[in-house]
Amino acid sequence: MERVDVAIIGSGFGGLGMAVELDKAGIGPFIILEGADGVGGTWRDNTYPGAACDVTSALYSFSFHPHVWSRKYPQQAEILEYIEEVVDAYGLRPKLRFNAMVEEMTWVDSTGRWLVSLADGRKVDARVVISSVGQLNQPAYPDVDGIGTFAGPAFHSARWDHGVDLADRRVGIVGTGASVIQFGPQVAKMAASTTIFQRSAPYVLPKPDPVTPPWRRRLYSIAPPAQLPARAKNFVLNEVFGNAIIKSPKLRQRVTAQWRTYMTSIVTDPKLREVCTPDYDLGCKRALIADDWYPMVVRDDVTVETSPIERITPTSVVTADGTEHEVDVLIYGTGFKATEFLTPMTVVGKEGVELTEHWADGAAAFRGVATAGFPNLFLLYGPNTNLGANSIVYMLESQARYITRLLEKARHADIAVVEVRASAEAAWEAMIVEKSSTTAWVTGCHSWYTTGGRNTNNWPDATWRYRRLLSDADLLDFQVRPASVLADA
Amino acid sequence: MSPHVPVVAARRTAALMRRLVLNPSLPWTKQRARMERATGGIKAPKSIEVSTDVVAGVPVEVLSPIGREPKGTLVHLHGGGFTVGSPAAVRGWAGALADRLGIEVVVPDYRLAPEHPFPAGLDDTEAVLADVLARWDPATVALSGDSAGANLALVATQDRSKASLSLPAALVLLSPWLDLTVDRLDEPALVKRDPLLNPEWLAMCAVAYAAGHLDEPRVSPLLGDVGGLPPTLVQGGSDDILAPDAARLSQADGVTLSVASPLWHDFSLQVGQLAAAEAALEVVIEHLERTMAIDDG
Repeated sequence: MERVDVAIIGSGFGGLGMAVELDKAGIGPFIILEGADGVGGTWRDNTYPGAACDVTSALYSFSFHPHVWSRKYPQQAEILEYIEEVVDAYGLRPKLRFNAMVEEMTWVDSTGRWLVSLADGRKVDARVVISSVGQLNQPAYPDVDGIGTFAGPAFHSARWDHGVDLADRRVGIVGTGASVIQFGPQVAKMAASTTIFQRSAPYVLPKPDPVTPPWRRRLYSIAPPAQLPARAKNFVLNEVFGNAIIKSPKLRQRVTAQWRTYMTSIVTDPKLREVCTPDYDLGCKRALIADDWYPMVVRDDVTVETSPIERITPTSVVTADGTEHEVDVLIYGTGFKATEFLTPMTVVGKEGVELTEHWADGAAAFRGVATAGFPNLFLLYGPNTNLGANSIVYMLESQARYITRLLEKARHADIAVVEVRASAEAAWEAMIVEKSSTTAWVTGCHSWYTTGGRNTNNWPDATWRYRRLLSDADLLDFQVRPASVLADA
Repeated sequence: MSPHVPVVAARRTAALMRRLVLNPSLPWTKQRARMERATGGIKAPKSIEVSTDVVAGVPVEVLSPIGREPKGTLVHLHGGGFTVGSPAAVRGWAGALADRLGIEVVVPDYRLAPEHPFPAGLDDTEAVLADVLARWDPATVALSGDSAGANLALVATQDRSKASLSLPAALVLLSPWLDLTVDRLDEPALVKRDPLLNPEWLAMCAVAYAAGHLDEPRVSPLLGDVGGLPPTLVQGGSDDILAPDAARLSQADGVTLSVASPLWHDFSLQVGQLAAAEAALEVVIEHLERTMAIDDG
């Protein structure tokens, strides 16, 4: 059994950024448990054609490790390369444990440590566990009859089967979320015909994605800080725009009008326009950006089916209006179990309480990073830390610094165990509810941001305000146990 | 909320206190006079009336909410190494609690060593506590103390517990000094970090108070059996040579430890000066609201 001070779960942006911060503060020894055989998290999982980030690359990267990006919106391969580069630049390779899929972790109160069990039977004994498994890691499939009976190739977009040749095949795509917006147009180019089963139409806005001109690339490689103005500009734009969208109905109307002008300039058929018009307010779900979505919709070999799926047969998808759509390949672009944080890991806290029971009414956590009853467990990208419009890397860095600061202070005070006070967590939750009440997310649409109408996933305010709230860690928000107590026990 | 002093500046002020007030080379009278000067300006909130009284023959300072019927009573024992200090030093903290919880805070001006060694201060504490517990429903009474005062509060509670007498509903111990036999120089790293307390000053106070009874559990309660306590909150800073005492006490049943880092001895009292003290006060309020029967209605 490997015994460490800190075990980080996951090696995406969150886990690696956390590792860099811990290393800098001299906290450890720590290891990074990775279920797969490579780093990258969501950027390793999602290899579908057209996979890219919808936040500009200058911003969607670590503040401490600037990079010369090839274009404005980075593509999956380039992001994965960047992540590998970070692993080497900060000497994290020896800390990584691959194929270490965490199945269960149990808090042992007498020793003040977590016992982490891996799928292959190995165990890890860690004082502190930092979960960085993300919100968008467990594929979600639609709940329809006959989903397992389809005879042809069928896969989720986050588990893309590159062995399936789509050329001249009839392809069915379920969903119209952020992934489908990216791979749909690519599939349509290859396939004989493409049928998209749409539950609700997305708002899709243009995505100006210029390549970085050579002179800029040269400048950035000579003087990386030269990128800072672009980073700052993108941050401010996202911040102002994103917040206005979620908070101001007036601005939502104006952007909706712009979207309508853009959509109708490409989609001319009145019937198709109706298909492309969402039935909810802009901002309630994630607003998407793509230049090739509406041009794809108007293609002759593309059909957008709005009648809900009733069942799936070995050769077709049958919709509620009775139509049978014959397809050769079925691709699920149906998103992730975003509101089920930390699944499918079993997390057993104090007094045998499971995290899923603790969060039965929807997940919540103090500053998004800690919850009462689960001492020495921290979350990155936890409840209410997702963003509708800005870079999640910024949030992850805020969290990693906060956790590191807290662990530093605990070490300074000879504290081995910290557990957030229930009262501190309740006050935080009340603030989230209050801030969320005026946002577009609770205007009544079905999205992965909410559980039972309650905003469980998004940060409902300015991101800089989140960072300010996490700028210092206060041990007084936590119940503590000194190391000496545990040493005597 | 009043503007707070940066931690760095407050730490320097603490170091100044160590040099000019809690300095073993100064006579007790001089230390006391300087302590009075240093703490004389501390004021309770405007909504709190500060008066003096005599309870069971012991002079006390009483802080009560103006125009409100107090919902309960907190007895607080001030610190000062059993040798210096007065109720004035805790006026800010005690006043804030009286205001926030709508309770009366009674601060005994107990007799100080070396003129009045053990058990004089403890006798005064127990007399006041007995009187308050006899007059009011014990469920509405809590006991607290800081530094040496926390020692008196803990021992008084244990004495009552052993005699099967009624106990206060809660105990709050700020930066408690609970073992007078420990040579604090044994932890040089901690001594270096502590801006306020001088180990030699502590040793002098210990000798002055204990008068030959250093290892008696009623002087050094950690040497005896610590048990039978009401819900107890122990609060302190990490940079305090007495921090190990708080950690040791937290092993007892029903004791919650709350530590702030990197703060010093009795930082909790600096309400209105330190943001961390404000946060620490919230933790105390939470503890007392949970344990005392002082709900409205």
